[in-house]
Amino acid sequence: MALSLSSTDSPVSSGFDRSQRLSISSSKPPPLSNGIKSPDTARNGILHHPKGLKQYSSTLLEIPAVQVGAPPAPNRTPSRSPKEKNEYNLPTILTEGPSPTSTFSYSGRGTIKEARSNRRKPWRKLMWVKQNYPDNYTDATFLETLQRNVNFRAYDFWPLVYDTTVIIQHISTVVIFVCAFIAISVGKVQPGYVAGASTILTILGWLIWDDWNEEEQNSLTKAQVAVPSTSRRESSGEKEDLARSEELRPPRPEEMVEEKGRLDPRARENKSSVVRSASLSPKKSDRVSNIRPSINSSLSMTLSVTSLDTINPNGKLGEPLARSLTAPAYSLSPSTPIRPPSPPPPPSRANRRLSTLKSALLIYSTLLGLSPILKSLTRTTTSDSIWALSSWLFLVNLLCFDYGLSEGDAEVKRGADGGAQPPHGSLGPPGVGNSLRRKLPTSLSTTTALAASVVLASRLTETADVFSLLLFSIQIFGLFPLFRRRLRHLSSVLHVSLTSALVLFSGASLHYVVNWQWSLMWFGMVLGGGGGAAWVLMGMQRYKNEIRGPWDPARPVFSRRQWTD
Amino acid sequence: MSYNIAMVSDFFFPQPGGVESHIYQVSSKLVDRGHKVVIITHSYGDRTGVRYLANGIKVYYVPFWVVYRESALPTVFSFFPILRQIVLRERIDIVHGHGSLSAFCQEGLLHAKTMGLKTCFTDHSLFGFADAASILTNKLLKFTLSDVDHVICVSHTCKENTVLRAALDPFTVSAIPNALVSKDFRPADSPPPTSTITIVVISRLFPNKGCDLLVATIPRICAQHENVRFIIGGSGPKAIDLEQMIEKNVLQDRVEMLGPIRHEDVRNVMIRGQIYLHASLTEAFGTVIVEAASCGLYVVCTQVGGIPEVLPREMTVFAKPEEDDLVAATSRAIHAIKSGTVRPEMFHDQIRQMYSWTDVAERTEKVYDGIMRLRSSRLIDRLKRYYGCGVWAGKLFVLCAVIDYLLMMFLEFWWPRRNIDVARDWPRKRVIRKESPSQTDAEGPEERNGWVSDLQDQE
Repeated sequence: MALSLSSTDSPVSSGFDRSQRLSISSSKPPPLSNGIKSPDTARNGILHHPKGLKQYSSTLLEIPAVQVGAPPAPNRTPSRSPKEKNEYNLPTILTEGPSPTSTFSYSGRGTIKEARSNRRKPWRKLMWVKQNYPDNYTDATFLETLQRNVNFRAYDFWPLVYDTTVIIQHISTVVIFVCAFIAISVGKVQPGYVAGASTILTILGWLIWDDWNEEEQNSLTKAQVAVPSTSRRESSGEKEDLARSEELRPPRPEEMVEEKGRLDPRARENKSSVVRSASLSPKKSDRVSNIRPSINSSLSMTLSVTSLDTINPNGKLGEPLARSLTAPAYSLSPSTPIRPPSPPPPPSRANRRLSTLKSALLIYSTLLGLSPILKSLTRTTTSDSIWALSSWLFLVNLLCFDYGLSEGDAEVKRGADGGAQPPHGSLGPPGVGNSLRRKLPTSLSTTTALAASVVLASRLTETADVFSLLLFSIQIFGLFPLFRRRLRHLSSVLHVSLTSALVLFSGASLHYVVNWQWSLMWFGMVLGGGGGAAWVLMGMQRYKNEIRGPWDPARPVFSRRQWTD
Repeated sequence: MSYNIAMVSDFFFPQPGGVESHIYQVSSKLVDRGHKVVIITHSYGDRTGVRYLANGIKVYYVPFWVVYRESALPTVFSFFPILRQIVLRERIDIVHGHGSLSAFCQEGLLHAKTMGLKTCFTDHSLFGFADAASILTNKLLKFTLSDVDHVICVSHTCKENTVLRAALDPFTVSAIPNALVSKDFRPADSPPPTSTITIVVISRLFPNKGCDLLVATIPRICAQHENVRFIIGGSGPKAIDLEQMIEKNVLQDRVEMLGPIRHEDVRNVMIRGQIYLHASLTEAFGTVIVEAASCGLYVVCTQVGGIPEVLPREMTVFAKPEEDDLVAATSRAIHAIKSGTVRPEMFHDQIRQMYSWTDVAERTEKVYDGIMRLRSSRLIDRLKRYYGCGVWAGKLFVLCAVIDYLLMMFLEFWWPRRNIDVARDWPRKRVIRKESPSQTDAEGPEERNGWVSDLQDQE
C-alpha cells in the first residue's frame, strides 16, 4: 500500500519497482493489509442485495435504484472469524489500497492513516484491480455509456406525404390499366380509343421530353464552353472530349448515376454511343440484334421495350441499362490511350427524331404481328388462373418497382448544391455489381407488368383489342415511368399535379368502369395511404428505442484507400 | 458447506475455446475447494456417456442433435427427462449454465427452476440489439433469465449488456473476470532482442476480430518501421485477405502466417515477439490479451467492449478502432519498446496476482453462497415473472413453464424419484476453506499442465 505511494518516479520504472517490492511484500503480508481486507471479505462474503429481496425490473432500461456510495464498511461488522479471514490472505495487490500497477491516478491522497480508516475509494470500472466492493456492486455510473436513438430524425408530415406520391402514381397507373382492360373486355370502350388516346399522350410526352433534352443540351454546351481545359476537336467532336475528360476524372461511380438524366443528357447519349462503338457492334447491327430475339416469344416483348430504351438515343435511354452498358467502356478507357474508336457523328435533333420514329414503328409493327399469337397464347388457361396470375404479377410489379426515392433525394440535393456542374463532375466506372443490383428491380417490375398484360390480353376476343391493350401497356409501363421520374426531378409542382391528375383519372375510370363505391374506396385508399400512413409512421416514432453502447461491434474506420484496390 | 454443482453448457471439451476452458478451470478449482462438480454437455461425435476428468470432475456427454456450430437443437422440453435423471443421481443443488447461445444451458436453467433447484448463469459474450438473431436470442434469454437466481458476467461492460438484454435487476448480476493459468504463460527466459521488433497477432481470423483493420494497418506499419516483423497465428475466413495483403505489398519475409495454433502452443508463439496487436471489434473480456501480457508482451489493442477493463494502462496502448489510430498506437508501442521505457517482462508477476482461477472460483463460490441462502420461489411467483416478459412472449413463456411443470409431475409419476439410483461420489478433497489458504493459483503441485493436456491424460 504505502510503498506505492512513496514512488514518484516515472511511471514505468515505478511499476517495475513496485512489482519488485510487491514480491517482497506478498511473501510476508504486512498486518496492515489484513486490517484493510477484513471489510472486503465481509462484504464479499455475502452477496450484496439492496434489501434481501430481489426486485425484478421487467421494463427495459429502467435502472433500479442504484446504490450511490455504498454504506461505509465499518457499519458492517466482519462476519467471519479471524481464522476464516486468514483464508483470504491474498497478495497485497488484492487489497483495496493503491495497487502496484494502478496508481498513477492515485496521487498521494491516501496515507496509511487514511487507509486504516477504511474510507472507500471510488469504484472504478476495471476488472484487473481488486476493489473493496462486492462483485454485484452497481455503481452510479452503471449504463452511463448507453446511447439511445443516436441518429434520430423526427419526420415531418408533408415531406412524408410528398414521398408517398411516387407510390401513389404507380398504383394509379396500374389501376388505370386494369380499368382499361375491363372497359375493353366488357365493351364499354372501343379499344382504338384507348390506344389512340395513350399514343397521343405518349407522343406529347415525348415532345416534352425532347424539349427537355434540347434545353439541357444547350445549358450543357454553355457550361462546356466555360470549361477551358477541354479542348474541342472538330471531327469527332465532344465525344472525344468526353472520353478524355472521363479518363482524367477520379472514379466515383455513384455520382455518375445521379448526375445522369438531369445534368448532361448529351453526355449520356454520347456515352451510350461511345460504348456502342467501343465495346459492342456498330449501332445498326446492335439495334437489330436487340430487336430480333424479341419476336420469338411473348415474354421477350418486355425485352424489346427495354431495348427500345437503349436504341432510342433521345435520352429515352433506360437508365439502368445504360449503366450496365457503360460499365465495360469505362473499365476500358483508362488503359487505352486517347484515341476513341471512331465514333459515329453526333446525331442531330432531326436524326434522333427519325431514329426514334423508326424504332417506334418497329415496335408498332412487331406488336401488330404478334397480337394474334399473344391472343391465343394463354387462351386454354382458365379465367380463374388468369385473374390470379395477373394479380400476382401486378403485385410483384408494385413491390419491385424502382421508386428510387433515395436516388431522387440525392439528385435533388445535388441540384441544390450546384446544378450546373461541368461535365467533369466525376464520372467514373460504375461498379458492375452495383449496376446489376440497381437494374434488377426496374426490369423485373416492367417485365411482370407486361407479362400480366399479355396474360390478360388472352381474355380478349379481337386481335385489335389485344393489340390496343398491349400497346397501351408498353406505353404505360415501359415509357411512362421514365417520364414520371424525370418530371419528379425537374419540378415538384408538376410532379404533384401529375399525381393528382393520375389519382383523379383513375378514380374516374373506376367510377366509369365499375361503380362509384369503388371509386370512393380508391380515393379513401389514396388518402389513407398517403396521409394516414405518414401519420402512423410519425406516431410510431415515439416507440423508437435504438440502444447503442460499448458492447456493439465497433465499426472500423479506414482512412485512406483500401489496400485491395 | 459444500455444494453439488452441475455445469450445463453446449460448449465443452473436445472443442477448444474460451467458454470451455472457463468451465473446466472453474470446475477444477471448485473441486479443490471441496465441492462436487458435474459437467453436462452434448455428445461430441462418438464421445457419449460419462467420462471423468482430472480432479474427479464427471462429464455427462448427453446424446443430442446438434444444429449449428456445436449448439444443440433448441427443443424446449426434450432435455428434461435426462437432466432430471442426472440431477437426481448426482444430488445436484445448483445448476450453473454457461453461454447464452447454448440451448442446453437455457433448457437446463428452466428445468432446474421447475425442479426447485438454485440456478446461476454465466454470460461470456456481448450481443447487439439490432439484428434479428440478437433480438431472438435476447428474447429467449429474457425468458430463462427472468427466473434465474444469479448471473455472472465476465466484465462490467458485459454486465451492462446482459442487464439490458434480459431486463435484469443489476444487483443480481456479478462481474467476475476470466482468468488464466499463469504458469502456462510465462515470459521467455531470454527476451528476444529489440533490434528487430516482432509483433504477434493471434486470433481467429473473422471479420469481427478486426481482420480488415489488420489488413489495412500491417503494410503501413511495415512501411514506417524498418525492423518490424509480424507473426500472425490463427485461421478463419479472413486469412485469405491477409495473404493477399502480404503478396500485394511483397511482405513475405516480414509477415509470417502460422495458421491455426493449439492453445498450448500459444505461449511458444507469443514469446517470439515483444508486442501483441489485438484489433478486435468486439470483445467481452479478451483473455488473449491477458495471456499476451502474461507472456511479457506489450499489448496494443482497440478500445472496444470490455477490453479497457482488463489490463492496466502501463501494459497496454489503446487505440480507437480506426486505421490511423491503430498505426499511431503501434508506432508508440514500438518506440516504447525500443527506448526501453516499458519492461514487459515484468508484467507476468503482476498479471499472476491480478487473475487466477482460484480467485474466480472463490468469487463464484460466494455467488453460490448467496443463492443458496435465497428462498426458492413458488410456481405462481415464477409465472408472474414470466408473464412480465412481454405482451405475447409473456403468455407463451407462462405456457412453457406450466407445461414444464406438468412434465415434471408426469416424470415423477412415471419414473419415481425413489427408483433412481444415487451415484457414488468421487472422494472429495478436504475442504480447503477450513485449511490454511496459502495456495494461490498455479502453485499447487497438481497444476503442472494446462487444461487440455490434463484432459488428454485422463483419456
